[in-house]
Amino acid sequence: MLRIRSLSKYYGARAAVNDVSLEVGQGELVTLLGPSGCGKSTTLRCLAGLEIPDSGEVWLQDRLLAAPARRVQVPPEQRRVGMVFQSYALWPHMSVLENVSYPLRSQKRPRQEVIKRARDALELVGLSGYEGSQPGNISGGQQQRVALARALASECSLLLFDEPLSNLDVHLREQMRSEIRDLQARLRITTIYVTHDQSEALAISDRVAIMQDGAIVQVGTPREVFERPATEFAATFLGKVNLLHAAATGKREADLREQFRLAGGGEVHVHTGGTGGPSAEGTAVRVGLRAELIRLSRNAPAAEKNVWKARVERAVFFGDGIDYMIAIPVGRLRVRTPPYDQFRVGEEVFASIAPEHCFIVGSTPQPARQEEVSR
Amino acid sequence: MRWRRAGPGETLLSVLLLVVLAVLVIYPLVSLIYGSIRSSPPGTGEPAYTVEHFLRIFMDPHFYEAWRNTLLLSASATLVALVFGLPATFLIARTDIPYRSFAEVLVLIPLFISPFIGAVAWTGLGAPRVGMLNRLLAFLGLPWEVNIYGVWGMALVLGFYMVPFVYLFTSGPMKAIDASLEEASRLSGRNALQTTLQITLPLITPSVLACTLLIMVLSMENFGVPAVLALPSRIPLVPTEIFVRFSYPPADYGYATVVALSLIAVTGIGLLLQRRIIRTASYAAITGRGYRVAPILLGRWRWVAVAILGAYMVATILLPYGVMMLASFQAYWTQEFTAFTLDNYRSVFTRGLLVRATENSLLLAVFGACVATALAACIAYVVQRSRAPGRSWLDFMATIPIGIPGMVLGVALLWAWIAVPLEIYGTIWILLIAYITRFLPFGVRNVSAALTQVGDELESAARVSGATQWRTAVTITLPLVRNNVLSSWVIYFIEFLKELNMSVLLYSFGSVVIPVVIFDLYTEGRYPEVAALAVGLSVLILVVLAISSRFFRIRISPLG
Ligand SMILES: Nc1ncnc2c1ncn2[C@@H]1O[C@H](COP(=O)(O)OP(=O)(O)OP(=O)(O)O)[C@@H](O)[C@H]1O
Ligand SMILES: [Mg+2]
Repeated sequence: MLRIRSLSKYYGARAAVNDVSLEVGQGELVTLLGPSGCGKSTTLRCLAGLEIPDSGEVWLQDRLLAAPARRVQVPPEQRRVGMVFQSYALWPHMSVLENVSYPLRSQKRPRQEVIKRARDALELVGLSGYEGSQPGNISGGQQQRVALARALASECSLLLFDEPLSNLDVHLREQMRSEIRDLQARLRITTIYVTHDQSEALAISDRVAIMQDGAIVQVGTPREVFERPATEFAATFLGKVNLLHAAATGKREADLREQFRLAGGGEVHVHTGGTGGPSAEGTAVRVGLRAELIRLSRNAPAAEKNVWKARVERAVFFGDGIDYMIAIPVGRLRVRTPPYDQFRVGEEVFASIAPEHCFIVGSTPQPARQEEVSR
Repeated sequence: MRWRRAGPGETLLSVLLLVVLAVLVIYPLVSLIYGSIRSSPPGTGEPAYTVEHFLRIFMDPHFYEAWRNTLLLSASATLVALVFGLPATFLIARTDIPYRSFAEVLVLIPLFISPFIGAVAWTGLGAPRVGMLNRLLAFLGLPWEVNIYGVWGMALVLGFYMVPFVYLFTSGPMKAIDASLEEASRLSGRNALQTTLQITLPLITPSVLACTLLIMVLSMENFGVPAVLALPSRIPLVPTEIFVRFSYPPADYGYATVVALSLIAVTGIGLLLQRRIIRTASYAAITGRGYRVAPILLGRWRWVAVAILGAYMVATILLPYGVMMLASFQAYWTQEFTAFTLDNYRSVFTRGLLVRATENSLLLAVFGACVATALAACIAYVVQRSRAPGRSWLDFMATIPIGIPGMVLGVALLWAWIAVPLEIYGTIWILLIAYITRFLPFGVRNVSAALTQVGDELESAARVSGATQWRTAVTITLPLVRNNVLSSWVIYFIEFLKELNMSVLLYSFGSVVIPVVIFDLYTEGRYPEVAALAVGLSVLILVVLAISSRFFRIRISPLG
C-alpha cells in the first residue's frame, strides 16, 4: 500500500507538484492523468526517489520513504521500486537477459536463482528465446517488454510507469496496455501509471487521478471521473464536452432528476446522483453534455425531457463517427454520432440527451475536496 | 539538395582542391618513400636506389631501444591522461560542482600551451637539485629526490598535456547519456558509484577507446617534451632520433627517413583503428527520447570535489608556470634565489634573432591561419554540401595528415621540395606549407561539424528564394557556421605560433621562428632567458585567446 501525503516539489518558485495526497491500495492500479507539464512525471520520480520533494511524506507499506520535514530521503536503490521509463532505458551494452537480471544481481542471490528469475520474468512478458539479443536489435514493442520484465524481476512492491506506451504505434499500444493490465492484476502489484492519454487511463485503471498544474483535481474510478467530473477541467480533459451555463431551480423529482434553468432560456434535467438535497435555488452551475451521448433524430424522440430543436451547421466525417456542430435555441452543441447517422448541413433535427448522461460542475474550477482525495 | 546535380562551379572547385591536397599531402608521402630508398643525400648526386638504409636500421639495437622507450612513454602518458582526465571530465560534465564553467575553460588550457614550453616549465619544478620540488624536499630534510628527466617524468608531463583531449572526446558523450539509463540502475539497487562504474563508464567506452588511441599516437609523435626531458639525458626516442640524425652533423638522412617511415606506419595503424572504433561502436542509436539530463547532485561532496579538481589544476598548470615565471625574473637558476631582475627579458627581447623570429612567427600565424582556414572551409563545404565528383576523395585526403607526425612531415617535405627549382625549401614558404598541411584536418573537422548541424533546408530555402549557390554559401551558410570558422582561425593562429616539431627541422637562418629560438636557448642552457621568452609567448597566446573568446564562443571539435 502506498500513501502520499501533501507532497510538494518546487522548481524555483513554481510548484511542479503541489500538495498532492493519494492513497493506493495493495494491488491497485492508479493512473495519474493530465496534460503535458502538469507534474505527473515529477510526482512519479519523487516516489522513485529520483527527485527530492520539498515537503510531504511518502509511505510504502509501513516504510517511510521520503519526508523532508523529518529529513528522511531513502535513496532510489534502497526503495525496491520498479519503474518502466518512457525511453525504456535499456542498457545498450548488456544483453536482454543481463538487463533483466541486473536488479537481481544486487540482491546477493545465488547465480542460478538470478538466471531463473530473469528467465521467468522474460517468459511472463512473452520474450523467451530473446535472452541473448542486444536491446538495439529488437523492436520497440519488445524493448518495452524487456523494460517491463526488468521491473517485474526485482519483485518490487511498487511499480511505476511513466508514459510507457507513448513511443509505440497505436496498434501495439492497445495490445501492450491490456497485457500490462493483465500482468499487474495477476501479480497484484501496487502500480502508479502516468499517461496523458485519457482512453489509456480509462481502460487500464482501477482509479484515475486527474492532475492539473501540479495538483490532483479529482480521483475516482474510470466511470466516476468520466460520468461525474468534479471540475470543468476534468470534464473537458476527458473527452468532448459541451458546457452550458445554468442556474439551479431548487426543484428535484422523485427519481433524483434535478431541474436547471439554462442561461439562454429553457430547462435541462440532470440526474445528480442524489448525495444530499437539491442545490439551492439560483446557484450558478455549468451543465455538461458529452458529445457522444447526445442523440440526433429527424423525428421528435419519445422522451419529453432534454429535447431541443436543432439545425445542423457543420458535419465532419471521421470514419468511425461524424462530428456535427448544431445550433439549439440556447447556443451551439458539438455532437458525435455513429457514422450511419447522416444529416445534411442545414437540416432541421431534434437533439436529445438522457438526464442520466448529464452532469453538473461548479462554474469555477474547484480544488479537490479532501474526502475525495484520500479514501 | 539531393535533386541537384553538380554545377560546373563546384566541380571546378573540387578539382582545384584535389590538386592542392595532392601537392600538400600525397606528394610529400611519395617523396618520403622515395627518400628512404635513395642512396645519396637529398639534392645531391645521381639518384641510385638501395635498401641499405632499411638493413642498417633493422640491425641497429639503438632503433629498437628508441621504439621501446617511445611505446612505453606513449602507453604511460595515455594512462596518466585517462586517470586524471576521466574523473575531471565526469565532475565537470555531469555533476553540480561549483565553478563549472570556469573549470571547463581551465581544463582545456594545456591545449593552447606548447607541450615543449610545458616541459620547460616542469624542469623548474622537477630538475634534480635545482627544481623547486627538490629544494622543498631538501629544505624539509627529506631524503627523496625527484627527477623529471626520464621516461616517467615525460609520461607525467605529456599525460597532463593530453588531459584536454580526454575532455574533448568524452564530455559530449557523457552529457548525452540518457539519464534514465542511470536512474534505472539506481532503481535496480545500485548506488551512485556502482552506477557510474557499471552503466556510465561502459556507455562511454567507445569514446574512451577513441581518445586513448589518439592520445597514444599524439604522445608517440610528440617532440617538444622529449626534446626537453630526454635529449639532455640521451634517452633515445623515435622523434628525437629523427631530429638528431637529421640536424646534428654529420646528418644521416637515410636513417632519419626510415625511422620516420616506421613512425608513420605505427601512427597510421593506430588512427585507422581509432576511426573504425568511432564509426562502429556507437550506442547512441537505441537511447530513446532523452529525458532532461539533470546534473548529479553531490551534496556536501561538491566542495570536496571542487577542491580536488582545483588542486589538480594548481599542480599541473599554476605551479609549473608560476615557477617558470619566477625563474624568468632571476639572474641564474640555481639553488639560491637571486634578486628580482628584468635582465632576462631585456636581453632576450633585444636579440636581433628574436626580432626576425617574431616577424616570421607572426607572419606565419596571421597569414597562414587565413590561408588554412579558407582552405579548410572550402574543403568542408565541398565535402558536406556539394554533389561535386571526387568529394569523398577530398574528404579522405584531408584526413590523412592526422596520421602524419610532425617530424615525419618535416622529413617528407625536405625530400619533396629540396630539388624543386622554386624558392620554397629553406624559406619561410616551406614552413607555411608544413603548418597548413599538418593542421588541415583540424579546421576541416571543425567546419564540417558545424555544417552537419545546419539543416540543409535553410540553404534550400535560399535557393528557392532565388539565390545562386554561391550567394547562398556566402549569405546563408557562412554566417551560420561563422563561430566555427573563426574558432578555426584562432586555433590555427595559436598552433602556428607554437609549432616546434617541423620548424626545428625545416627552418633556416632567414626563416627562424620563436619556438626554435626558445629551443636553441634551451640547448645552450640559458634557462632564465628561456623562461622569459616562454612566458612572453604563452602570454601572447592567452591574450589572443581571451580577446577572441570575448567576441565569439570558441569551438573545438575532437579530431578523428
Ligand atoms: N529539472 C527541472 N527543472 C525545472 N523545471 C522542471 C524540472 N523538471 C520539471 N520541471 C517543470 O515541472 C513541471 C512538471 O514537469 P513534469 O515533467 O512532471 O510534467 P509531466 O506532467 O510529466 O509532463 P509530460 O506529459 O510532458 O511528461 C513542468 O512545468 C516542467 O517544466
Ligand atoms: Mg512526463
